[in-house]
Amino acid sequence: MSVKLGFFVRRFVSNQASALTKPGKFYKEVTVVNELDEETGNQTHKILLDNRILKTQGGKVLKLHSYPLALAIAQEWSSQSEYLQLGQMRLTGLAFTAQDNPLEQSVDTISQKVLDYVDGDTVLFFNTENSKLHRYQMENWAPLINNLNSDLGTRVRASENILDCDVANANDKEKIDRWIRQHNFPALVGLQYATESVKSFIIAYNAIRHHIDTEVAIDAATLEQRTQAETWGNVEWSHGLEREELMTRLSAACLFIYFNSNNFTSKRI
Amino acid sequence: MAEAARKGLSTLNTIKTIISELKKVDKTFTPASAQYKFLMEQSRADQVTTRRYSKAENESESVAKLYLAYVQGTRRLNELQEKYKGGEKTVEESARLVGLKLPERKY
Repeated sequence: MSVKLGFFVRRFVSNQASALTKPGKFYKEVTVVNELDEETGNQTHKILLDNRILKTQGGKVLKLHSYPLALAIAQEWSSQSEYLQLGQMRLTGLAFTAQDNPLEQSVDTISQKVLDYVDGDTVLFFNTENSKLHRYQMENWAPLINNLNSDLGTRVRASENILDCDVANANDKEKIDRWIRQHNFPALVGLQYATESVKSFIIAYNAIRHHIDTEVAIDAATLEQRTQAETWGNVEWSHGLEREELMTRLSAACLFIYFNSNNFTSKRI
Repeated sequence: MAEAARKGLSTLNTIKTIISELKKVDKTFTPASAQYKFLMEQSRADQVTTRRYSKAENESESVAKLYLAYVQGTRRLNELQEKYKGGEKTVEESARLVGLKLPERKY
């Protein structure tokens, strides 16, 4: 009896203390409230969970400037079932990060980080050892590089040697940097997230500029793995899981950039 | 013109799929939801405005697809995680796995 009781107590206590326990869903209704900012004349949107206002992890009230984004974030909260899966609410996470800026990033640090990805961009390094993979890379990756070059007037080139360090010259990088800096801070947070998810600036760029849809982008990002899986087989609990995770990461980041860059609300003069 | 009409149609289909996906994951999602209203407004507005005003020609279609990919991806991710959520096996279960049995215990 005492053993059983001890087991029960331990289990109960450990559940309480574990970092793995998820918070329960504590609200029923999620609504978006619109407010007019007197100073700028812009609309701001807040999320209400029953009658509580959604706050960021930094403790500030979450304020959004895009109505569609506010709706999508509200949808994330109302789509939760018994427990909250905070890690999967990527738009909420991005909005929190953009507002709190926990890593104290600036436009400069983010654009530098994104720009650094170009030097080692996944789609710029072709593998010649495997002829099938090389053919796939020509088919899937070359068009993405072309899109970038024709949009921005750059001459970024693919390389077959992983030690190459001039895939993008200084002039190209300046042009790319200029494109990156067109974005406002929240959009930059999204851009960094997209780039780091697919390990490639060029894939993220193509998805953001609506050249390719998420499916094609993820195919390009996982090209080598998929080629291997053609020979050795696909493992759902690993490959399938990773694929869906990448899908949600990239699509959420692209949406976040889009909604922060295209403000539909009219400004008061 | 025919091309533009086809695009409008495919945006409409994407929005329909988004609505059916949202119904699957959110039981409170009804035509009265703000999200539902917004989506319907977009599908109507899309026929007239976006072809004229959007920056990329496939912009509205692409954004709808991005959102669909996000909602669908999250649902599938959850299903896979549910399906493969491990949890350690107990000593009894591991023993049974290799055809062994634990000695009976008396508490």
